Amino acid sequence: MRTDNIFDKYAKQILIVPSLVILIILIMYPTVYLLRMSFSSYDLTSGNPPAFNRIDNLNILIKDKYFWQSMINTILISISAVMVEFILGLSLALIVSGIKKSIFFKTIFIISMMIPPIVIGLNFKLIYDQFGPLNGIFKMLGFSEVGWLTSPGMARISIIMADVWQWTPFMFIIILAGLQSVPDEYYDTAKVDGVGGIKMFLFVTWPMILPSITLAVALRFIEALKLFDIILMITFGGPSGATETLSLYIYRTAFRFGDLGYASFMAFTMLILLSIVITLFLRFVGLRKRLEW
Amino acid sequence: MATISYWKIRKKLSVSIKYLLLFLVLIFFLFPVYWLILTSVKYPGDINSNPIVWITTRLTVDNFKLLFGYKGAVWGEKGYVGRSYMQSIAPFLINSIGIGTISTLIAMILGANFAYGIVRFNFGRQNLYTWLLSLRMIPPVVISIPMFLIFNTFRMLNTWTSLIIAYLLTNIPFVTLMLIGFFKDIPSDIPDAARIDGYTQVGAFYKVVLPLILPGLVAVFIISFLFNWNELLIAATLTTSDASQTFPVFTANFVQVERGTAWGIAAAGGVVGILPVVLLSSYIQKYMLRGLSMGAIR
Repeated sequence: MRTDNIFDKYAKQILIVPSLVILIILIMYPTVYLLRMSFSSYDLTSGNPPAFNRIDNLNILIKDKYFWQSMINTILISISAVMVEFILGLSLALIVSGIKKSIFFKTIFIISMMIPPIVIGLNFKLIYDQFGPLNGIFKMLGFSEVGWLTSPGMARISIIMADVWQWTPFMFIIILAGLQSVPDEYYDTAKVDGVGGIKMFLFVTWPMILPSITLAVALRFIEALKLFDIILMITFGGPSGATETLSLYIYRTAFRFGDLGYASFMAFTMLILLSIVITLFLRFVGLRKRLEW
Repeated sequence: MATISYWKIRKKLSVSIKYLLLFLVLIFFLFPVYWLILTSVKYPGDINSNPIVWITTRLTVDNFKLLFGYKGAVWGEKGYVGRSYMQSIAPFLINSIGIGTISTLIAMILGANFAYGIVRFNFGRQNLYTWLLSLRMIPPVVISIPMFLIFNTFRMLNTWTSLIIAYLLTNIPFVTLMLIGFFKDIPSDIPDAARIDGYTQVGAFYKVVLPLILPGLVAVFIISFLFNWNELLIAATLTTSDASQTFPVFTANFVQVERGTAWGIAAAGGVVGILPVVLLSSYIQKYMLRGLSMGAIR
């Protein structure tokens, strides 16, 4: 064994240090910048340099009803979307798990998850059109036309449906993997003991797939809180701000209205809130434990 | 006897209900894709028309021609002249492919070393893992604002470099997390044996361990590339022209400018956008779950 060679003596440093340093610079520099900008007023349109304004941005934020509205929208849309995805995904997984050709469904569903969200937005804008296919089906079934994107409530539902279309497969595949990892002996033993049907599901299946479910729901919820692309395409936050999410509102404040100081402060607030959510999930869900090496 | 046939019927019924449900679900998931493709090959008059054209043989590739900057007369029949001012999508696709490939490649090189170092030397453990995971979960909008300001001061907005650097911030943690999983699956006897054969630590990694996980490396590359291919928010903030705007930015701008008048062309763009996923899905499908759960599920 050679141990005098630098590729041996300093192997650890050679492998780890470059990436670690680059990663730290890549995250620290923008974070410090964001933090500094959060306590400044800087308007792109005015041309003045950023000026330190202490906690003025916080005072604006507290009174900014649009911010709170977008926060409520984000939470509402995320929770409903993830709930629907979970119920659909679980039911689908339970149905498919008994079928031998489940791989077929997996391949189809994988595609939907990786389609650019922007294309999904475009696609659903077509589908929700007043003269689009969804209203066409409704009319064929004898219902009247629905304004999918015109009322605040319907617009939210439409956004949720698009998200459900893209991400139900994620739930489905993770839960299916969980289901298929339950050993057959468990079911056999339960059968011998005279357990079946709903009881079998509640006392045998459910506890076994619970870790997969919590993981899927946690990951999905964290992602859903960042919802942006689909909304930009389908409703652009409308009607009357009903589908404006945090990401979209911050984006618009920063790059449409040019108020970078205040947008930074909101972004920082969002970062802190999301960190809390992630930390809670890592704790409660045991994500850390699942992933440790 | 009567009871047996009753059970048989009931069982058959429940099976057929099961398949009916599956069929409905399949339609729900396949219809939007079908509709996108159909719209992209329809004549303008057939798009969102009344009555709705569900299926048609009047097909055209003119939408694709226009999408790629064709300037002549199109949509035959009524002698409609195409939007000659329409910008070709080609440079945007090149930007997307170029930026995604370079950023992912750099992230792969850095991330592979990093991940192997972490596994081989038991570096950092849980805290490092949590840190990487949280980096991967930062909302793009939070990254985009300071990145915009930084690249603005360096006069680097609207360049490939700015986007490549910005994407590194999410690519490196992703690649590292994914590869940690792959390296952990390799028993440490293998590099140990290679070292007895005279390789250095680093040499053993490059010559012996890395080739072993080649299929995984390719899959991680593809998934990471696709994430960049799909990314809109950061690209939209850091770019302003076809010098560096990517495919999603093009599509977003196109739809906002055209306000729904050119659905056929927009749909053609959508079809181009999902091509990479469709082409690569069979290869990555084995690793996709790993990718989307950031290595949590093998």
